[in-house]
Amino acid sequence: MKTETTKHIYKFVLGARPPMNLTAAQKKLLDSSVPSIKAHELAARVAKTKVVICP
Amino acid sequence: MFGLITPEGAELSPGSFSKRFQYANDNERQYVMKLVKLAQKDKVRIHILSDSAGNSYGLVALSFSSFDKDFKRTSIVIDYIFTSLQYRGRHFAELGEMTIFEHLLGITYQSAITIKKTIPIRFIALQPASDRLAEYYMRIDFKPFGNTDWMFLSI
Repeated sequence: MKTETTKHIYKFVLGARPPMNLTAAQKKLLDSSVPSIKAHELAARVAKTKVVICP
Repeated sequence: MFGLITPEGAELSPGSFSKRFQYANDNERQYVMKLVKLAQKDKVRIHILSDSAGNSYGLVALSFSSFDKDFKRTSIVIDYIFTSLQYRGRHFAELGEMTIFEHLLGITYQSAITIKKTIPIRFIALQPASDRLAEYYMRIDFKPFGNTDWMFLSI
């Protein structure tokens, strides 16, 4: 038996803002998320490159 | 040597600004032109990764928002990440063998961590420009935000 899954197609709009009228499920999704170890590792790699932040 | 510059004032003239980069198509150029106009209105800050010879490799445009009207779920928004056409897919030894895109994303996360120490920012939010990019963002733990066009990452 075939199972069909629906894939979300992302639509990009420059200057758009995140949605603000959240459902309870969306609030829970945000509030239960934890910081990413992978993103921290990426930031740590960037820190080692010593790119100069110009004033 | 690479540096990160934040253009302002006359540096945000759309014509000369857009000439800093090479584009795959006119849509990309139009996006950059629109970004400059948003930056002129103080709606986004553009940060350019460049070198000491004046070559511009890419940019990230950032702004502030929230996932709710009470500003309890505040976020930095990545409005656009762009790599100049000739540097796409290239890994740079000076950038720890990262691509321009990876480095700009890392800089954003690093900045978010720093800002969070001063003001309560909770998330990084973005709209992926394509499904391929959405898959990349998921690899560094960005999560789709329900059935919307947004993704988020907890800081």
